[in-house]
Amino acid sequence: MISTPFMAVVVLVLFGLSAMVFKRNLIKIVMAVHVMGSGVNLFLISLGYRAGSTAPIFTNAPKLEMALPVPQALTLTSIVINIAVVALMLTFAALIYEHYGTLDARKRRLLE
Amino acid sequence: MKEKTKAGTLLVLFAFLFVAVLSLHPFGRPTDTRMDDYLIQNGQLETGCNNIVTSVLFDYRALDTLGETTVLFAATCGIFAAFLGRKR
Amino acid sequence: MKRKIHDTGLSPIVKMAVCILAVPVATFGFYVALHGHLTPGGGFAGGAVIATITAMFLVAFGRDVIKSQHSKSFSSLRTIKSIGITTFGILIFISLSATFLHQYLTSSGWFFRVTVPFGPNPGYLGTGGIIPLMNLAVGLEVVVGLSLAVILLLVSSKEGHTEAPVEKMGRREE
Repeated sequence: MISTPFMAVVVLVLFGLSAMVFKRNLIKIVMAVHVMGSGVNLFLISLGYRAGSTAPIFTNAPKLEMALPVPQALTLTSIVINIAVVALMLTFAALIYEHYGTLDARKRRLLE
Repeated sequence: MKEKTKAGTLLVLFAFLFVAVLSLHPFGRPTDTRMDDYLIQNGQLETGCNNIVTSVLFDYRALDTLGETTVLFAATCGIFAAFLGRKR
Repeated sequence: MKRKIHDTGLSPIVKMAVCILAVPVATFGFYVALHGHLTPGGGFAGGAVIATITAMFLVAFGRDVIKSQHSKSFSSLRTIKSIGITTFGILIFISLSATFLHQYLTSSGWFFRVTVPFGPNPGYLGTGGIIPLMNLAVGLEVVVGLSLAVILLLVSSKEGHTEAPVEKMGRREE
């Protein structure tokens, strides 16, 4: 059976992707993209865990067996880039609401 | 697109996701850790940093951090540019 | 000016509490950013902590007060953001290029040149070479970037039209 962090990743990506496909409100679509990004970040750090290890920091370290540091560094970069992408998406959603008066993603006049 | 097409495509994608997650390594036993073992042993000596994650971010992979800072800067410039002509 | 502050935003208790709380939050964020080479955190987390002060002030004082002061502070905010990322770029290129400077700057302190032996130890602040300076530069850039994003999105958006989006339950039209 799948272990617990990977199950949480599957649940997060599942909910994010189905909400992105089935919802009509632009803000809800942006939130679904953010949820999927969080699922991917969780997957990235749960790849680098050794059983019974502690954080890879030497300040008052209890033991010398440590988790892998490289996936944690990659996750930090991924979090910041997700912030930038979601901020720009929200800016465009605000501009769309000002220009067209609606946040519905299925109205025909958005595509003109 | 019809609702059935969307639901069917999503079901196929989720089947792929389940099969992919089932074939991962068991949680807590990563397969190959030679690079990270080298980093844990020699990171403190080469950079003088107690925090190995910070030393990876700012010394071994500093170009990634430069790219990420550039992405944040570009996003802020984009938000600024979207509201340029309407401040008055 | 006093009349304007009293009109908008939340009650005066919240405004006083936000003004008082800004100092410990700023200290904590600066601590997290400065000790990036000893404790978890670093430049990005510390910058995000300090950027919540801007959001606190926006919520407590209402957006009209911030709107009336935006024209003279945006250019200085953009300058500070550019200074932050330029400092980070200069530090990156110094530590990547010259091996002569590499021996001097990394694996020792800024001024005291304390080297760290292998193994667990209580953290000493003077170690780490050029990494604390890079943490501070990245923290400065993150603070100004996030504050600018929050202020711009909340101040510059006009009032919308009257039609509101409706999420229909049941059968949808294609």
